[in-house]
Amino acid sequence: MIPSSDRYQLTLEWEPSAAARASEWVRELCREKGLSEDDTYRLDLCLQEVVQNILDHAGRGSSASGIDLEAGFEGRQAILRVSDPGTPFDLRQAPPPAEADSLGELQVGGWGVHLVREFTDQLDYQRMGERNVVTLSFELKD
Amino acid sequence: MEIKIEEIEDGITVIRLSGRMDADGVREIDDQFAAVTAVAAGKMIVDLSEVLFLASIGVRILLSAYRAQVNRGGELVLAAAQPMVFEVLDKTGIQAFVELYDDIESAKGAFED
Repeated sequence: MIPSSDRYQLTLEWEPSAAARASEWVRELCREKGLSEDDTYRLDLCLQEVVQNILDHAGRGSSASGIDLEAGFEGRQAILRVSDPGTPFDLRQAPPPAEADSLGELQVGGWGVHLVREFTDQLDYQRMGERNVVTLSFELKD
Repeated sequence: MEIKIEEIEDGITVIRLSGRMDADGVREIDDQFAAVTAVAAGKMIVDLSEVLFLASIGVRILLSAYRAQVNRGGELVLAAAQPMVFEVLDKTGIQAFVELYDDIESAKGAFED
C-alpha cells in the first residue's frame, strides 16, 4: 500500500529515454528524503530495470497511455509502483539466469529482473484491467 | 560516461571507465569499449574505481568483453569496484568467470606467469 500522506507520481512517455527519466525522478526524491547513497542506489537500479524491461519487452499495443510511476515513503519503508499498458507480464515468473558451467553457456544479458529480485525486499505483481502493475518494496537500511 | 585507455608495463592495457553504467552511459562508450576489447587479444584490466553506478546493461558489456577476450586467447579482469557496484557484480555471480580485484596493483598479478 502506497502511503497516501507522502506520495509522488509521474507519468512517462513511452520512449527510449523513459528509464533515464525514471532514474532522475527517483534519485531526486531520494535526495529530498535524505536517503543514504546505498538505499538510493537500490531504488534507482530496480526502477530503471523495471522500466527498461517494459520498454524492451512489454509491447505497447494500441494504447496511447504512458508508464505510470508512484513512490511512497513511510518510516523505514519505501515503495515504488510501476504500471504500464503492455501485454500481460508477471516478472516474478521470469526464469532466473541459467547457471553456466562453461564460457559458452555464460549468459551475458537478461540480468535485469534478477537484479530487481535481489535488491528489493518484496516484489509484487497484479494485472489490473489492461495494465501490468509492479510494486517494489524496500526496507531502508541506513 | 567516459573511457580512457592506458598501456602500462608488461603489455597490460588498463581501461578506465567512469560515470554511470546505465543505458545512456553504456551507449556513450559501447563502440569504443568494444573496439578495445573485442578486436585483438590482450591482457586487460577494466578499472571500475570511477564507475558510480552499474545496471544490468553494464554487466552485459563487461561479460561480453570478457568472453570476446577469452575467445581470442586474451585475458580480462575487473578491478576496484565501489561497494554497491561490487554488490551488483556479486549478485550476478560474475566472479565464477571473471576475476575481480580490489585494486589495479593486485589486478596486475593476474597476468604474472
